[in-house]
Amino acid sequence: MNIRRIATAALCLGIGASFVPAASADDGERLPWGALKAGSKDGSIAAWDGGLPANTSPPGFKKDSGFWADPYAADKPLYTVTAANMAQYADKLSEATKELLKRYPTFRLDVYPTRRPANYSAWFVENTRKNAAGRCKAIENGEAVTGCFGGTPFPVPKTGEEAMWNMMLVNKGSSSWTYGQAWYVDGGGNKVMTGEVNNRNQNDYFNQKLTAEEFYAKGGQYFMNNNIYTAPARITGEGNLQRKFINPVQQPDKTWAYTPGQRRVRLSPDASYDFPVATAAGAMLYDEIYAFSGRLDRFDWKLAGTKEMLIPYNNYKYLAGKPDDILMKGHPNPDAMRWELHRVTVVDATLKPGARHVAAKRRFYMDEDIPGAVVIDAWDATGKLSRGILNPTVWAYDKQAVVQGGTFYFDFGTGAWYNSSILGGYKGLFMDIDTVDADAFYSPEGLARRTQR
Amino acid sequence: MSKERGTRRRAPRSEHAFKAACFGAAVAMAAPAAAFKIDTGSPDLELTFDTTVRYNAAMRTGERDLRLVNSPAVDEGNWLFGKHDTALSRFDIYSEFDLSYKRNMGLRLSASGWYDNNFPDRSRSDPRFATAPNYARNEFTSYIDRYYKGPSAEFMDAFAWTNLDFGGTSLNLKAGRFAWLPGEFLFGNGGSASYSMAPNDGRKSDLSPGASAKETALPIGQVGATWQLNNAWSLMGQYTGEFRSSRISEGGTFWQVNDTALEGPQYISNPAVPRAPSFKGDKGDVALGLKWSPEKLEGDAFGLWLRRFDDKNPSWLSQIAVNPNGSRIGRAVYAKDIELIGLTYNTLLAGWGTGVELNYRRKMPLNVRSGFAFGTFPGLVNDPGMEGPRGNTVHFLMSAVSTINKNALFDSGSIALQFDAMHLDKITSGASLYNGQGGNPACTDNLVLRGCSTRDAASIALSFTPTWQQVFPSIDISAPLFVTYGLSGNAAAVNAGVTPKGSWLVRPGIRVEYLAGKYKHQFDLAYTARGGKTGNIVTGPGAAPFFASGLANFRDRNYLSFTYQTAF
Repeated sequence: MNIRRIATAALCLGIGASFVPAASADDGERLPWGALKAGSKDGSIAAWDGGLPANTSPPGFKKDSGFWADPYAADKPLYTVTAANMAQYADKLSEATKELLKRYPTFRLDVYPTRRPANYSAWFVENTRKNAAGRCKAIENGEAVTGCFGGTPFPVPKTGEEAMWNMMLVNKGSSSWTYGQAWYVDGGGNKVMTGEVNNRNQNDYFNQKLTAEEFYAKGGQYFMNNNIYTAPARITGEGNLQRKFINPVQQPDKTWAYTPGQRRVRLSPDASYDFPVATAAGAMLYDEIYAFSGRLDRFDWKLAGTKEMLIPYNNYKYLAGKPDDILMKGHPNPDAMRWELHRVTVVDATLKPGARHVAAKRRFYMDEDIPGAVVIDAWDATGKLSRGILNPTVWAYDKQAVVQGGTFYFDFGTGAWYNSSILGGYKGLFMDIDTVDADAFYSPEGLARRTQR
Repeated sequence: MSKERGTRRRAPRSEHAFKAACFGAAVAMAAPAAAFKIDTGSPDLELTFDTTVRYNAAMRTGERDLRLVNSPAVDEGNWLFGKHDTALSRFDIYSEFDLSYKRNMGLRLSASGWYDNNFPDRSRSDPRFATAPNYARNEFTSYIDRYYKGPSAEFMDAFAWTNLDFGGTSLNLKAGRFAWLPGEFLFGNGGSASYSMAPNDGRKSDLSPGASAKETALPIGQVGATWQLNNAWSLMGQYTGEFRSSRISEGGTFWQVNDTALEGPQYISNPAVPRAPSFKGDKGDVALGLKWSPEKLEGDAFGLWLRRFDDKNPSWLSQIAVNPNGSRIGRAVYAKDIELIGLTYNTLLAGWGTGVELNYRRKMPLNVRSGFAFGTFPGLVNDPGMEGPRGNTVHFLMSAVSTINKNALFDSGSIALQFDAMHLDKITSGASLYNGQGGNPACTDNLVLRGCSTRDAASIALSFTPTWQQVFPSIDISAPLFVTYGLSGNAAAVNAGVTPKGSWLVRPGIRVEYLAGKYKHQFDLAYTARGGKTGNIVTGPGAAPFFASGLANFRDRNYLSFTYQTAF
C-alpha cells in the first residue's frame, strides 16, 4: 500500500491524516483490536501499556455499585483549550467542539494526559482475532455483517461501513441495568428532565454463553432494550421495548410500546433515520440513539484515515456527576469533563443522491481503542454545521468493557442540547450482574409485566 | 354570559366558595406530596405517588337550530347553554399510588376528583316543552350534581398484582379493580375483541378532553392473568367479580342529545313515563385469550379470544312497560351473556404499526325501535326482562400508525387511522323490535336519515399531528387534528363504534407544551364541529318533518375547548 498516496488523498479530503492503517491487525505494531500499540512520536499519546488490570480498585470503588471510581483522579490538566487559543489546536478539534468554544465563553476543554485503559478480556481478544481472520464479513452492501461475534468485528476496517460496525458493536458488556435521567437544556438555558428510565439492555453479541453460530441462529440480536419510565410524573409507568438485529436488511428493527390504562402492548410504527426523539428537544434523532445506531443505507460511508483528536475520554467524573454538576446553558459543564488526545478513525458519511435526511453530511471520529468513544459533526443541506455529538466514555475496569452513560447532543439551530442518560444522583449502571430469560423478558408480555399502570 | 343564565337558580355563593375551598385544599394537600418516591431504605421496595391536574373549559359557538329541538326528549341538552355560553369550566385531579416489591409484586391505587363551579343547578327546557322537562321541575338530580358539578371524587384502580415464574413460564396476575383492554383499536373499541371488557367513561372524555386512557377506562373488579408459556405462546384470562356500567353523557347536558338518558333524569317522558332503575348485568364475565407470536414472524402477533360477557353499555336505553294498573315505566336494559370469538393481528406494514381485528358476536344487542311498550303493543312478547332485539354480528377493524419525518412544513408528525365495519349476520331474538328493515315498519327508505339500522356499516377515524420542536426555548407546538366520518350504513349493533353514513366530526387544535424542570405545562385549544345527514321525509299527506341522523344532531353544538394540564 502506498502510504504517501493514501496520505495525500486524506489531506485532499481535508482531514489531515497523520496515521494510516496497516494491512492487518495484531501484527506486533497493532493490538488485537486494531489500535496502534505505540504512542505518538512527540509522546503526547502514550504507548498502550496493558490498560487497566481487571482487579483495578481505585479508592472509593465499590463493585456493582452503579458507578466506577476514577483511577486517574490524581491527574492534573496539561493545558486548557478556550476560544482564545483554539486556533492552535484547530486540527485536533471537531467542528462541533469548535462551535461550542466559539459560541460560549463559558466552555473550555481541560486536556488531561492521554490514558489508554482498554484491556479487553481473553474471550474478547480471541473472538476479535477470529473476526480478523476472515469469519467476519460485511454483507448487504455493508449494511449488515455476518460471522462476526464477541469482539471488534473489523480491527482494521477497510470501508466506512466496517468502521461504523466497530462503533455499533463496541463492547459494553452483554447486559446492563441502567437507571438514568434524560435532560435537555434549551436555548435559553432552562433545564428540563424528560425521562427517568429503568432500562435493561442485552447484547448477545457479547454473550459468553453463546457461540457465534448460536448467536446467528437466534437472529443476531445485538440490541434488546426494555425501558420503563419512573419519572417525570406524566410518563411514569409508560414503557417500551426494542429489538435490533445484526442484519437489519433481513430483519428490521422492532419497537413495542405499552399503553397505560388499557394495559396492552402494540408494535410501534417505524421511527428511524432523522425522526426526532420527542423527549430530546429536537437535539437527538432516532439514528443517533447511542451516538449512532441507525441504518446505513441512506449514506455513502468513506473511511477518511486516522488522526489525533481531542475527545472526551475517561469521563469517570462526568459519569458520577449529578444533573446540576453537568447541565449548563449551551454546553456541559467543563468542570465535569475530561478531554484527552487520542488517535481516531475518521469516517465521512455523505447523503446518497435522492435520499433524504436532515444531516446531508456527517463526520465520525472514533477512538482506536474504544470505537464507541466517538465525536460526530453533522452539516445540513446548505453545508452549515447543524448538529454535534460527544460520547463520553468510561472503561469499566472490573468488567473489561465500556460504560457509556448518556451521550451529548447539540442542536446548533436552536442552541438546545440534550443528554440521554445522566446517572449521577440516580442509581447508575449495573453491568452483567444477572441473567434473564431474554426471549421472555424482551417480549411484549415481558414489557407488560414490568409496569402495572 | 347571556341573559338566559341569569334566570337559573344558583346555589348560594357561600356554598360555592366552601366547595371551591375544599377542592383547593384537596389539591393543596396533594401538592406537597407530589411525585414522591419514598426511599424505603430497601432497594427492593418502591413507592410512587403522582398527580395530574387539569382544567378544561368549553364555549358553545354554534347557534341553536330549533329544527333539531322537535320534542321534549331532545330539548334540555340543547337549551342548557346558548351560543357563546361557557359550557364547561372544570378542574380534574388524578392521583396514582404504586407500591412494588422487587418489581415482582405490588399494589396500585388511583383516584380522581373534579369540580365545575359553572355547572348549573337547573336544566333548561325549550319554552315549547316547558311543561315536560325530563328533570322534575327542571332541577338537576343529585347524580348530575355529583358528576357534573362536584366537588366530588372516587377511587379508580385498586388492585394487587404479582409476577410468578415457574417451569420456564411467567405469569402476571392481577386481582382487584382495574381496566384491561387488549386488542388492536386506537380510538374506540366498539369493534374490538375487548368490547365491554371494562366499562368506558365516555362522559369523562366529553367533560375532560385531556383525560388519558388511565382515566377514561373504568376499572372493574376482576382477576386478570397473562401466562407466557414460551417464546411463542401466551394464555390470557379474565373473570369479573362485579358489574359496572359504562358512563355516557347524561340527558339535559350539553354533551347529550337524548334528554332521557341515563342515571340523571327522572323521566323518559314527563309525567307519563318515569325512569326506573336499570336492569343491569352481572358479575361473571369470562374471557380467554391465546396469543401466538412465532419467532419466524419477527414480532407479528396473532390473538384468539373467546368471551362471554354482559354489555357494559346500556344496550337499550329506554325500554318501556305498561303496569297492570295501566301506568307506564321505563328503564335501561343491559344485554347479558353476549358471546364473542375474536381474532387479532398486529404487524408492521410498510413501516406502519398495523392492527387488524375480526370478531363474531352471538346475541349482540341491536338497535331498538322507539314508540312501543311491553305488555300492550300488539304482537310483542311481554318480556319481563324488557329486552330489545339481539343478533349475531360480525365486526372488523383495522388500525395503523405511522410517523412522518422532518419536511418543509413541520419537524415531525404522526398519523393514526382506524377503519371500523360491522355486518348483521342474523337477528336471533326480538326481530319485531329491531329498528331496521324487518322490524320497524318505517324503515323502508332513507334508512340512515331515519336512524334505521342497516345490515352493513363502515366508518373511518383519523388523527394527524404535526409538531414543531423548540419553537421558543422549551416550547414545542403541535397541531392535532381529529376526524371521523361515516362511510356507509348505520350500525345494527349498539355501541359498535361505527359512525353512521355521512356523519362527521372535525376537531382541529393547537397544543403548546412548555417544559420546565420535571414539569410539562400543556395547553390545548381545539374547535369541534359535527354534522351529518339531514333532510325532510314525507311521512304522510302534507307532512314532511325534518330528520337529522347521527352526529347531525350535534350540528348546532360546535364548541371551542381549552385544556391546561400538568403532572407532578
